[in-house]
Amino acid sequence: MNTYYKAAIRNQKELMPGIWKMELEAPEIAHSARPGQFIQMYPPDERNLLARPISLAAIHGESVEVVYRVVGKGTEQFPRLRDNDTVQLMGPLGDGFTLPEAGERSVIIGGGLGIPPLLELSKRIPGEAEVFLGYADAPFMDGDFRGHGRKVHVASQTGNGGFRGTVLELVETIAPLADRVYACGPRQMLQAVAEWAERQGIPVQVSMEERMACGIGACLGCAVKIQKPGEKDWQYLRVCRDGPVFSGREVVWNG
Amino acid sequence: MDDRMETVVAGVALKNPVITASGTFGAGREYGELIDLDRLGAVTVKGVSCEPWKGNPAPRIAETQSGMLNSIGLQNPGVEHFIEYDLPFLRQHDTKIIVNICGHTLAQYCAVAERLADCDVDMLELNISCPNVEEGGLAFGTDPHVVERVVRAVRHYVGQPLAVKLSPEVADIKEIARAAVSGGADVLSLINTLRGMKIDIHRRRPVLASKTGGYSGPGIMPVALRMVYEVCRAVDVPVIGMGGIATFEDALEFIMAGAAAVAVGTANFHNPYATVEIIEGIRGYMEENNIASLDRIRGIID
Ligand SMILES: Cc1cc2nc3c(=O)[nH]c(=O)nc-3n(C[C@H](O)[C@H](O)[C@H](O)COP(=O)(O)OP(=O)(O)OC[C@H]3O[C@@H](n4cnc5c(N)ncnc54)[C@H](O)[C@@H]3O)c2cc1C
Ligand SMILES: Cc1cc2nc3c(=O)[nH]c(=O)nc-3n(C[C@H](O)[C@H](O)[C@H](O)COP(=O)(O)O)c2cc1C
Ligand code: FES
Repeated sequence: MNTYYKAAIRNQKELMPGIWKMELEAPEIAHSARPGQFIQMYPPDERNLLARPISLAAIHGESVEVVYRVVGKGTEQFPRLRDNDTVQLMGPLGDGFTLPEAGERSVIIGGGLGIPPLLELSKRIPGEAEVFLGYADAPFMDGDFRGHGRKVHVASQTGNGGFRGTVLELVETIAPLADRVYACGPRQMLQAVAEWAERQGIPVQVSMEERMACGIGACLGCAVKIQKPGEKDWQYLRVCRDGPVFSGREVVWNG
Repeated sequence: MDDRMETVVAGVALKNPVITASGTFGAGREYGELIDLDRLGAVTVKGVSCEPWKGNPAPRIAETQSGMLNSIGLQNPGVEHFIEYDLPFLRQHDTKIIVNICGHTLAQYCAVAERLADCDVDMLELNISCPNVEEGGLAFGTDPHVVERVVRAVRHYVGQPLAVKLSPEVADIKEIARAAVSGGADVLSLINTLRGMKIDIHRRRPVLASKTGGYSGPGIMPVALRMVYEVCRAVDVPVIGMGGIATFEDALEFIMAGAAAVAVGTANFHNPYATVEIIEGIRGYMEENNIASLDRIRGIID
């Protein structure tokens, strides 16, 4: 159930230069949220009219956690918030990931700020899952995935943390066995992962991003090109309502 | 107590003067999960065309100082889908239904109007800001002769009161308003968005895939208010005022400028309860100032 209210902030801290984590006391969101869903966070400065979509990185009993990168005018306001300050939220929004069937092996592939949205998924997958994380340089949050017993492989552009190269190059090197692939990250990475999974014949769920206004499906601002199996033509679906998770096979990547 | 807010627009009795602006509220389904749609004077739905329109490529949204740009491109699943899927949903609610219609040709406008003529819809709103493919892509709404001709032609097929929604991108809004009225408009609604642009200096390209888009939100309100004021004095039909309304104070400014009712668009994105809060705010203002009917303050600015 979607809700709109002010949540108190707890334990905000900088994980890496420019990358922050905060806990939001939001029982209404925590009770109903599923991995892969997101919230709309309203910048405290009222002059920023539009909310910023941020994924849920962790869902606890009465609170949720988000991890965000300071990018521009909206996200740069969030680090100034202190414990007990409140922030206006709306959520949980979108459709999350579909968990694997019992006995299926999963591969989770994340790139950059696409990594946090995969954490709760990784925790909730009941069976085997191998995690591949790609970074520009120093890794972050890889320990959180190891923390619940996942095997984690790290790639980075600089070789910091192990493998030097893209996360998909690492996946191809290790060639894990998988019945399902879950991915979140930059569009280019998602496309490469989707094409790789397609070649392997493995179904892949990708979490997409697009600029949003309403965040709930009313304005048609957040269009993504999707072609459903059996349909003659593509159509624009809404990332905020029909996604953000889509079947990688259905996304029309080029054009 | 609600009675004192009742507003009759071209024979359509709204329980209060607050309407949602087309394209910002879908057909009410999504916002209906947060607010009670029965509270609204009317819901104006997203533009409906005779065939489905795919819309423009993404990004379609850009935030700007005091507002936003959109380049949705009137994406909609077509009038048949609207009648089958959205209309029954809206009818479950105790609010009036205004259907915004769009077309690329005059024939398309007429076809949607005709299809909706027998439907349980309270008012049509003709969006004449659509690109006119017959006349080189220029909007229908910019030339008074075209406006009059289009309104007269569509009027013939319409079964409900007809509102004509005006574009602000004209030399003289009064002239366009008069043309729409002489073509047969029962109501005028204004303003639609102003075309704007935003450039991402790091990527050195426009934020919107369509390069330009419609500017809406608080930044356009002074322009919208001035136009509503001028149009209210130029014509005798009721006016639905919109453009940047975010608070009850904003709404009252439009009413004092002469608007019969107001529509709230972009503010819904910032605050999904904006419409309901505006209704409450107007009610509070009326109580505090002992105003028995909105007619007492409507158009008091001369
Ligand atoms: C479903 C979804 C989940 C996301 N989850 C996360 C997350 O968990 N952590 C994280 O750091 N980031 C996440 N993002 C990206 C995040 O929304 C943007 O980085 C953020 O909106 C930038 O805002 P800004 O004000 O700092 O930047 P500005 O550039 O000043 O923003 C201007 C406008 O563009 C929009 N915008 C800019 N970049 C993006 C983008 N990449 N995606 C969507 N809108 C954008 C803003 O929301 C705002 O409306 C997610 C995006 C989506 C769509
Ligand atoms: C995302 C978006 C979509 C819109 N779609 C339509 C539309 O389909 N038809 C129409 O006549 N106006 C459309 N409009 C214009 C609004 O109805 C309104 O006239 C304008 O946004 C000014 O009001 P506001 O500042 O309160 O948003 C749209 C506006 C926005 C922001
Ligand atoms: S942001 Fe409005 S439909 Fe997705």
